[in-house]
Amino acid sequence: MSRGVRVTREELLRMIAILSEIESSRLDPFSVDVSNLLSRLREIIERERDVETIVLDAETLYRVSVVLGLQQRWIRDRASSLFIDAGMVYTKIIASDPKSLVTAFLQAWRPIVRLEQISVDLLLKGYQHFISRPTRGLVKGEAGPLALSRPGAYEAIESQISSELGALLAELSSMGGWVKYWDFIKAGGDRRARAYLLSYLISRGEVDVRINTLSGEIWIRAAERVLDEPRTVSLALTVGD
Amino acid sequence: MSGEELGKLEKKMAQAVALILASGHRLPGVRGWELRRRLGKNFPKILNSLDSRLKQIGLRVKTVPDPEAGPKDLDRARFYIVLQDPLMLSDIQTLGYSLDELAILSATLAYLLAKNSSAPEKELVEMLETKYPRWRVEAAIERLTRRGYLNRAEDGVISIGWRTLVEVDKQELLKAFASLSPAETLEGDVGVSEGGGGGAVDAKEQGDSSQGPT
Repeated sequence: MSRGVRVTREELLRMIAILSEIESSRLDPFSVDVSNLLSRLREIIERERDVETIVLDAETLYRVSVVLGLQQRWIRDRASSLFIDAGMVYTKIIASDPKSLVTAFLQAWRPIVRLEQISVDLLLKGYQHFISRPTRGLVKGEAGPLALSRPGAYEAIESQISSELGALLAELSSMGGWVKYWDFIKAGGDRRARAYLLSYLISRGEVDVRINTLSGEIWIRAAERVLDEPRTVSLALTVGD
Repeated sequence: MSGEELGKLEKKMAQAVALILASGHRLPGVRGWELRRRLGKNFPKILNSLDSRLKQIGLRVKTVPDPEAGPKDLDRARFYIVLQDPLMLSDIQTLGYSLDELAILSATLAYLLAKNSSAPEKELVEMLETKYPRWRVEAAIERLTRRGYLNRAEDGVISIGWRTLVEVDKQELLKAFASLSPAETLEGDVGVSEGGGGGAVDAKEQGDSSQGPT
């Protein structure tokens, strides 16, 4: 590889790195001079026509188009925020007392209304469902002792569940980072059993859950540290056959 | 509209309210396809009627389009019932909200919205530390994130959360911030901190004294 080609390659790689950084770190997309960059790309492609340069040039051009997209979005967002500068907001925050900040917020805030109580109708439906269920242990007319009444049976079940919980947590930890809930549930074995065990890990705070309400996606990951405080948010999911 | 049709519409509106409000264990609101399944393909019209009815009691139906699907796809949009009019400062304490936490939320959202909806957490905490101690700021950010007002990314960036998109009018908030001024702050401070009776007395006394010389 000639020195000229090497220099060109390094320059293109540097451009790609800068443009990628703007995209990934959400930096100001106008911090790069797109016009100069395109002129330079044109010079390079006219001078060097080897395959590697063309490929890198195409990659750079793609990154430029992404940054142009970010610039367009930036302008749209700025227009919708009435071109109010963050610096100006910062000054207002410094100069205002908490009550004024709240008063400003109240002008724009319309809280969601929701019911968080059960109705008598729902209670009755629940009760009807409860009494319609067969009594456990008497379905087949069995009058024998329950399995749990055998000595050591409870400890054996508890030990089995603990080991299964440990195995499931280890599997999730080995995946590293956030994993889609449904992908993990369907990854192997009886997915109903996996979902059931996973619900325990979530309740115990050993698995973190994140929900994107707008897209409906649920993500999970092994918790980095288990919090002492109890979890108060319920999440119900239906796992079909 | 005949009496029978009106009765059907009333029933459908009641169903829609139940679906939107009584979402049980799940997060608030309901998706369009769920409403379509229960109310039929004319669910947007039923929601319009419901909206008119709710406005009479200070509520309204809010539609939040799915960011990926766009505003025309009502099946993937999410529907909520929200307050129609702003709350008063005196309502805040009655309803059990913490004034300091709302002040932190207010400053955070205004700052984020002015920065295209996201900012590094460190930068945000430094800004809020001008008003509150760090432990309080961090605890508030944690709570607001759990409640959906903020979103914390892996790379230490805080952005606005789903609840903010539903409950807060971005332009209205920025306009309110733009109109804040130190002078107004002081005036507002007197009115609020003195309470209804105290503020009124002060104004009267000022009025009386100014009338004296004339």
